Amino acid sequence: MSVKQLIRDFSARTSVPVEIDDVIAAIRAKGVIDEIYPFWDVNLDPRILKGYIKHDELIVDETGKTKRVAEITYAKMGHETERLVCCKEILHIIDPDAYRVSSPSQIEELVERIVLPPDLVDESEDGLPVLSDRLALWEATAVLFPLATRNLVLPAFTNGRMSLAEIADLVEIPVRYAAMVMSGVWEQIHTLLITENNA
Amino acid sequence: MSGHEKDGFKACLFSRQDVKLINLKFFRGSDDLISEAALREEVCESEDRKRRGTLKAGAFPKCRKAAVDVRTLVAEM
Repeated sequence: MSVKQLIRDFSARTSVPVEIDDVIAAIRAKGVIDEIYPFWDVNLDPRILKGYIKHDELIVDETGKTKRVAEITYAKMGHETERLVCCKEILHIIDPDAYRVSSPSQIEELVERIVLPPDLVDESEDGLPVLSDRLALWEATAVLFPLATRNLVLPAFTNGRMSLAEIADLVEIPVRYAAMVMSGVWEQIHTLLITENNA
Repeated sequence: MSGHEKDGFKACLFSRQDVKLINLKFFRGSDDLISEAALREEVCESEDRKRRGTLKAGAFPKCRKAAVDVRTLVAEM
């Protein structure tokens, strides 16, 4: 399955907030059998790193049989940010091979690029694995704030009957990400996120 | 960036022969300026807490509110 398909599946949803466990159930329904373990690390400094996924293949017996284990570690932050971080990292479980970062040199490149201040980021210089790390944030936003939900609250938002804070509270994501979804460019971004031929 | 520090990071991710890394991804922190060394250190220390058992697997955050159907919510406004 692809993340694009997952976003499409969630885009019609009008029941919110979306539980993180629903996202896991959705990838399980598509055949993912990897073990998934969340670690809420209160000692992880969210000013440096809000979270990460370490996805491994383990040899489990002498015959060489393997299993896949995804460990998702997230810092203590606001509830909404913790949900977004967890959702983003869960989506990486289904990263296609070309987006995965697994060798020492790939990891070095990712670290070098991901620490850059946002205003110094030039995505055209990112390789696919780095770009996928940045893109997954918006993919997670699209999953947790489905397009159908956005379109239903848009009139109330436009005429002032619902504030951005109320909408963010409804879907339980950070206000700044709810703001992006409610903006006029979101439909185009969403289309890009679900279109199969974009990188 | 010291070679020693990079070696430590590599060791924390690749030291076990029965484990093959498939994928590693990060959610960058909120500071504008983050050093590569600081990011590596956060990962290594967290992995070390898991190895020592002081950090154990738990649960993903649950929603604070019961789900509502936005169609109903909007219709009632």
